[in-house]
Amino acid sequence: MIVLKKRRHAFLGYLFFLPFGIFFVIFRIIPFFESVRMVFYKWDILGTPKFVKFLNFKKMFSDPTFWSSLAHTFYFTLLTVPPLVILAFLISVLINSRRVRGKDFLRTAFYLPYTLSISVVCLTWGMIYNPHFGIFAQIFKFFGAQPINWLGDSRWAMPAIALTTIWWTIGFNIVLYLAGLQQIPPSYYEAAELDGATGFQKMFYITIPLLKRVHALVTVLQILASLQIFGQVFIMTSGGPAGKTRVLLLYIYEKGFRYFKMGYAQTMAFFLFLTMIAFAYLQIRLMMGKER
Amino acid sequence: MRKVLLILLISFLTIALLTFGKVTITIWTFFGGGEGYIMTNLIKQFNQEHPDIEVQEQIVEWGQYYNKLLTAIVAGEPPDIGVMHLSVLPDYAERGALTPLNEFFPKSFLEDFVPEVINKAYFDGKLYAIPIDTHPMVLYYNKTVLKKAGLVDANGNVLIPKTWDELLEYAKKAKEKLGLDVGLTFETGPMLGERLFIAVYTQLGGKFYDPKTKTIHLDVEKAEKTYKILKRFFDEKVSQVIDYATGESLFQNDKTAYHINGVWAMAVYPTVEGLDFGVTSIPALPGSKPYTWADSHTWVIPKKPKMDEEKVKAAATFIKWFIEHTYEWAKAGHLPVLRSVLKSEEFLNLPMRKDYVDVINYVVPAPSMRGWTEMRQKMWDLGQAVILEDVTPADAAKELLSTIKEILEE
Amino acid sequence: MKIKTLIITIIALGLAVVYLVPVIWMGLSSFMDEKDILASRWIPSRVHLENYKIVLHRAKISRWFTNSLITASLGTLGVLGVGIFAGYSLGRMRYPGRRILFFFALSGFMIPIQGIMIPLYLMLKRFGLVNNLLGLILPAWPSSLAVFVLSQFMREIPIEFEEAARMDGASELQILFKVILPMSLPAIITVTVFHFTAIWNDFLWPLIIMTSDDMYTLPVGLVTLAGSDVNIRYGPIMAANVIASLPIIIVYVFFQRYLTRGFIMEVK
Repeated sequence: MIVLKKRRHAFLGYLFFLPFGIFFVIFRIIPFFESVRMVFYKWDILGTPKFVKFLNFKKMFSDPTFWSSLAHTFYFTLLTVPPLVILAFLISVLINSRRVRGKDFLRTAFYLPYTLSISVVCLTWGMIYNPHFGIFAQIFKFFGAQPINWLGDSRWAMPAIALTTIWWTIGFNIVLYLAGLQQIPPSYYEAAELDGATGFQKMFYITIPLLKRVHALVTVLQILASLQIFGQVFIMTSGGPAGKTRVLLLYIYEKGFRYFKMGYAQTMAFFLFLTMIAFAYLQIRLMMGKER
Repeated sequence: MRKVLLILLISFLTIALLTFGKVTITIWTFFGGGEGYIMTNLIKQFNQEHPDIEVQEQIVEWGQYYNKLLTAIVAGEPPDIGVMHLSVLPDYAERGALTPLNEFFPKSFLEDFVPEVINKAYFDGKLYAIPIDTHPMVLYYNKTVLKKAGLVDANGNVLIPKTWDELLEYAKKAKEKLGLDVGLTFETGPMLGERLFIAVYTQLGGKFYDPKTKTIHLDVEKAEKTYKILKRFFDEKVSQVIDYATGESLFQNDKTAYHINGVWAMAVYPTVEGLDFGVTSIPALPGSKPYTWADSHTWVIPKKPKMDEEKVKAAATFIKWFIEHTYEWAKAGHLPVLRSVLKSEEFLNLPMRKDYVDVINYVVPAPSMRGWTEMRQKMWDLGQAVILEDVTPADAAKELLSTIKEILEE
Repeated sequence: MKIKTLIITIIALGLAVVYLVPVIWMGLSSFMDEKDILASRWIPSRVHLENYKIVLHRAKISRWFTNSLITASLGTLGVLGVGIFAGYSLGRMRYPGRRILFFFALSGFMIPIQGIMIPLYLMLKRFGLVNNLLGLILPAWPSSLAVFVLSQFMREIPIEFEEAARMDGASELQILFKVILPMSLPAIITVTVFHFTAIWNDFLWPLIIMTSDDMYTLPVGLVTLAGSDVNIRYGPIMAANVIASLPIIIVYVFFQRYLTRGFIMEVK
């Protein structure tokens, strides 16, 4: 009886997984293997592929633009992940604080940007960064300074894109943190207060440790998303100025779709994939800490 | 949801009705604004005059056009007619993406074309494109601003710079006198790194592109000089890093004296209220002719896995008709490529055409070769790097040379 | 109200308002003509409705909006449909090979869409789904994130609830729908919000797969508008942005209470 139940259970287990499995194989696994195969070929989209073994890898490792694109991607990730995690946390704590009124308004305000589409955000911020009439230009001119051409400046273009991204996506992380914060029983804080704990102590010894899982989740998602950045750069700078914001995915897109070098583009995509595995593996390891 | 179904139903019925008894062909263009209106109206007119053919226009955004065309060709579903720049023709013709047009256009038809232009529409002896215009880069000047800044001659006519030094001088004066942000605007991506570069390089006596061997020669010294000449405008704060829209906007709103752009802007500028402007060839180096960059739009017929003969014939009919209406298309600001039209009264009577029709004699052939797309991108990057001082003109010239070599070797 | 409360509230509200400045500026600019914008004005010298006229006349915004709505809705529904079952299987059922399937499902995190764009595009072409909304909807369904979040959340639900239902003779499906799902509401809401927004905001994939401009989704259409017309810039672009965003903003402001209530339920 029990054996039958177990087998039926297993059967149902597989069955329930099946729909996901089918779609996953069709739309992720198969294209993935196809794309890996392409790495060993030279293909210009319209002709026949030519088998070139490891030539694409050699080219990639000696391609300065590949390395700079990779560096730009890492730079962007570095600029966005810490603020997106830390600021989200702090803002959530602020919103959740007992001492704050108007929680609904605050939540709405910080989450609103996240509801906007990527083009709306990038087109608007493109104008905000305009060195002649944009918001920052107005501030600079008010103080008698020469406005910075944010998106046209080698040093500031990437930070500008990072700022836009942070403004845009922090809302989601805030929601995750708020959910986590709600789960902390108020009694913990009350107990701490009885012991004379200050605000900071409460945060460091209660709030932050109890939110470990949220920290991990938010960080992983953020890193993986940042490594895949494409849209903001594409819309706001097209990789400029002078290629300073060219991130890896944009370079892959250019090589594949503009210069018709499919095999080479796929090789870089494969490299990015390996990089992401490395990050994700480390992070998931941390998250799966307490297994049942 | 209901609205969606309704829309779908109506679209379906419309399509069904339209396809009954007609040959329907699709045409992809990237023309917007003033040009776009002229093109759309021409297509409408063709449809009216040809009840048995229906040309459906699909306007694709300029920046995405070639990506989409490529993916459509790969998917086996390209449009029946597409617009294509002459400069990227080889990349497509070489890969067998286009249909040869020799059989549809007899020699007599091709005779009236400006030879330099039509010759570039061939690849491997076969004709792959029909050019419809040439659009050089020119200099626009804002009469309101110049008059306010006192940059006029004894007769009260605004000063028109003939050399780069004069342009720099006048633009600076205007900027300083009126407290403007800039004296000269031009987009600092392709306009600077590719088009102005080729123009000035040629004015220095360099020969950038060799149409006979379809390769690029780069004289590193001349390249360095070119970058230096262009960089001066930024060193002296007469120009700034700027995007296309802002460059135009400042000019149209009297916030800058001079503006370098293509003639396509003539489709719009005359209609801008309150804009008092003129157009002329770009400046030249002393002792040189005012060589300038230009490209051409063409019609091509992409290849499909199975070509529908009727559709191809209809496409050829449209192209022929369009060429017969070159004058109409020239209203968009471009220079026509039919010699008869270039000389005609009606063309020369279009606004300001007389001021720049001569430019066609100084047009430098835009490179038309394999790998050009990638090379241009590099040139755009290098142009910006030079004015941002990330790289010296000398190093930029060297980098350009090595990039060219690399790409040609592939 | 105590002083401390007042101060902190004011600071918080102030930050929130500053945070919204870009959106406010976007709205104001949509009513300004170019001269006002160049002059860095915040209040329009006169309400310039031409921007909206231009956009509504020349752009297929309602069509793009509908496309985005259909794609995001059906896409998210599919993600949930497929993800809930898989999540339940991985989170609450035990069978040999479950761990392998779990990591298999998670491997999707590492496959960026840009990496598989070309083969995926060619595959869809073979299915005839190019320039078709289904080409956007179907590939979105196998979401590793959804499976992960749902499975992990479902796993945490105390076994007692399930055992009680089993003793009443409930089948697996009934347990899933009557017991686990209602208790998984917070996770479901999170997954829904994330995917709806992600599909709505997706830029590259719709850009590649749609060849005619009446099939564009909203983000792609808007950028097309900005890039295509030499005279559509600044004001009209902001007008287009407002038109595109207003419905979503209204829906969100209205529903945001329920959004967080879903999370609060977790505490009960």
